[in-house]
Amino acid sequence: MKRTLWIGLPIVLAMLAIGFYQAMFVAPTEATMGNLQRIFYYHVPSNIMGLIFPYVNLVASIVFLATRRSNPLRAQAADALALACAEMTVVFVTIGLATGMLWAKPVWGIWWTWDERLTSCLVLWLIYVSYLLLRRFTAGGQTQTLAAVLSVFAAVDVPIVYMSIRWWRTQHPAPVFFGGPKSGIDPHMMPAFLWNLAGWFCWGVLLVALRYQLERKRQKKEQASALAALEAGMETVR
Amino acid sequence: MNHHHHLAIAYLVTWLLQLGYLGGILVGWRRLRR
Repeated sequence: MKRTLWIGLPIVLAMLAIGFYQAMFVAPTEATMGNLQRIFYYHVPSNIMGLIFPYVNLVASIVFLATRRSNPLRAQAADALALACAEMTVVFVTIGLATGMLWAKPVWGIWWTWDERLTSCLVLWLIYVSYLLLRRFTAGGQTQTLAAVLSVFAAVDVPIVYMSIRWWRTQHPAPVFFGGPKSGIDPHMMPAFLWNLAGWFCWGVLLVALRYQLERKRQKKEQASALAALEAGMETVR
Repeated sequence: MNHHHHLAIAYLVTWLLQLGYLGGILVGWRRLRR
């Protein structure tokens, strides 16, 4: 954990510092929204990460479900990864929603509207919050299995969030990337966007790695104390 | 259109949440080692 932190953190912080500098001082000011448009460089990467980590969570959950009887050690590792990714998803989607509202108020005149993109994004957030609450407040041996099954259903919302601005045209702007011939941003804005995208991606990977290692350590400690309690019980029987 | 405070709050919220989560992981790590 220490090695991951001390090697990874300076690199990621350097990338994000470049991203911040590019977003604030290098990227051109947008014609209609002015400096407010610079929220884009944090809003969009956060939301993209909020659509990537649910899929890592899904793959880890499927591995857990597939191996929980045949290979419990691998299943435990997969479960730790799924938990780390779910937490990271909640953080990124929370940021996506918060920065979106801060951007919407001056531009649209409203903090929130029940537009398809906004609503599907809120549903995604609610599902992953409920996933974490389920893990936190259920007792017994079925918690991991229930969480893994919920994660499979949660992943269904991810393509709906992605496609919502393509299927329905309401309040949220049309897709900037992969949105057809009229989409795209000024090429001078690309370095700021790409540095922030790469920086927040690496930040997410770093935090997931740290959280994964912490969860593995907790699992091993729990197993060791369960084994110790079992051994103590056997001593008493003798 | 100048709403610099919205831009500043958006960046601040992003960093506070991300650093808060990192802090939470580090606190969890310390508690586990005890």
